[in-house]
Amino acid sequence: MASIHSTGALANISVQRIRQNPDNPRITFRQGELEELQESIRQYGIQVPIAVFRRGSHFVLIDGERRWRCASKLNLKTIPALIQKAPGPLENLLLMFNIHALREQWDLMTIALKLPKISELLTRETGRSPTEIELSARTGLRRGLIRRCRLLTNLPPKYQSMLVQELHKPKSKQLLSEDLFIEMEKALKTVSRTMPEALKDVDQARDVILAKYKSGVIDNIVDLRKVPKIARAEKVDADPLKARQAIKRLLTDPKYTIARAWDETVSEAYAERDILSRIEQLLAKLEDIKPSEVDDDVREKLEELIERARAILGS
Amino acid sequence: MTFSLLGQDLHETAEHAKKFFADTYGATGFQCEQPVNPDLRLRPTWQARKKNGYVLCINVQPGPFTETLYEFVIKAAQLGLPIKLWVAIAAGAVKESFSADLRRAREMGVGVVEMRADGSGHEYHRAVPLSLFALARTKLAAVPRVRREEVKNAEAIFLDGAPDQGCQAICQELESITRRFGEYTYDKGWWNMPGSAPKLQPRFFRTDSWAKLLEEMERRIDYTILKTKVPAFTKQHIVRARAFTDWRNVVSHKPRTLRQLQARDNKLRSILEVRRDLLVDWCAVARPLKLLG
Repeated sequence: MASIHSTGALANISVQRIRQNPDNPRITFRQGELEELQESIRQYGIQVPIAVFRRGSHFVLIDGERRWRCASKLNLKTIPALIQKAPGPLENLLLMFNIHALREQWDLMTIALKLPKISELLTRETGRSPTEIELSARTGLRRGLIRRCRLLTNLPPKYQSMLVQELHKPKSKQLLSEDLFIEMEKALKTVSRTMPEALKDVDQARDVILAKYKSGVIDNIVDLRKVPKIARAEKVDADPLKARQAIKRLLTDPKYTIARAWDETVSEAYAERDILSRIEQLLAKLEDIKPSEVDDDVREKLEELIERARAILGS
Repeated sequence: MTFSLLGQDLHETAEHAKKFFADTYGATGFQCEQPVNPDLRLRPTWQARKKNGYVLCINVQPGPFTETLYEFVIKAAQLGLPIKLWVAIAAGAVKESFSADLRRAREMGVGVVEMRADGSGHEYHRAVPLSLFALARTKLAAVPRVRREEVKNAEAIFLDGAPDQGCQAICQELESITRRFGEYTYDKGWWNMPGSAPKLQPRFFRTDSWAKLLEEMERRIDYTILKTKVPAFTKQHIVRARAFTDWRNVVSHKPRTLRQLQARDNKLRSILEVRRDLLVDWCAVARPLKLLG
């Protein structure tokens, strides 16, 4: 048997002797997806061998956990497998990322939870912390994705496990998502940087935001992007004192909505800034246009613009 | 419980299902994701034992039926395995084919229970023991209307996991109809009785030994006269009924092991089929004499 199971060999191995890879970043398998594969395997068998390495008397999965689960579920005796050389811990993890993360849509938390370990192993290998570019090159993940992952891994353990528990639920029953946590963290980061006095207890603020989301007081994750804008009220010449009070209330009062905080503080200022920015853009464009190039449609619109501006200015 | 095969989205449903079957059906000795039989191509999420000896298999899955279950049912029925297969689904499982899948599960004898978030369960229909599932279903059109309900009930009891009671119900019907037939034909004088023989009392037809009655019927009935009254009647009706007079003994032994249960179910399945067919034949001969209702 030993000769059959040499490196890179293809063999039919006992399903019972296969163990899950504890380093597989994928922590969530959804039954619906498994069942589709199971039906295909039941009808056509396993067309693509799984990849394993040998550890003692059993084999550890590198690639093909879903196929292995389905084969076990179907009570198959053997499964075709490529038996590879046992990888080192870093190689094992990187293999998983390169095999899976690029091929299938994983939950972000799944990836996030393994990134610190990869960082740690790379640090051990090179003697220094990997940069974001290096991490991206070794794992095959985009830098933006790595940054989003970091927001999740920086969450206190309580919130991480809350999110993991949520991911284990059926999709239809999931209420809290990775996107919610990411937007919440981005908002709180800005608040703590620009208005630290409004954010005394970060966990309490998190709890309030999550409770508001669950109860529907916050009904759109994207609304959380308004919170940093309120915190930066001074930048748009809005009243910073009012903004601070609104942020404080937003992070403590379970009924106070983001829309209300927005309207009471910076709504007009941002609308004004928006108009100014558009006017500036238009003026810059107009500078490039010679009077001879103006056609009838543009002329008509410019006259309409002048008329409206005069009406607003009252002259 | 750590599931190694089931997707995480159904772990909670699986835990609820385990509790539900333990509480509702007194299931014990739960095993998780283990093979039931080397020839069956499915490891159900749970298997447990029921008090009546059947192996209870519960597969937790997103919808009520799959082709994997179809194969499982056919194979288990072929092997005559005393298994009851249930599917546990999560409440709110929305699938386009839900109704069709539910109907197929029912047709294949697979029970379906929907587990709610509070741990309670809603049973759409119950599982049929797969050792009994291969029973040839009664063609109800052949059964006289007045006896249809009894036959239907007997079959339902049989498939609900009490095959002995189902058989008993059919045998009781058969015994009752032959007794009435015997008494009626005797009272009409369609028996050849020796002149010296004392008159038979109603007790002889109603409560005395059924075997003895059939023996006398076979010997004494005047087949020539009866042929003119009930053309379908032959001596074979009585001969065939005489083969089953020990039915009380056959159904009264409680199986102690799975193997005994499997053997008993297989035996009872053919008993039910044969006696039900004989009952239908007896109904046909009793009908012209208005002995059915």
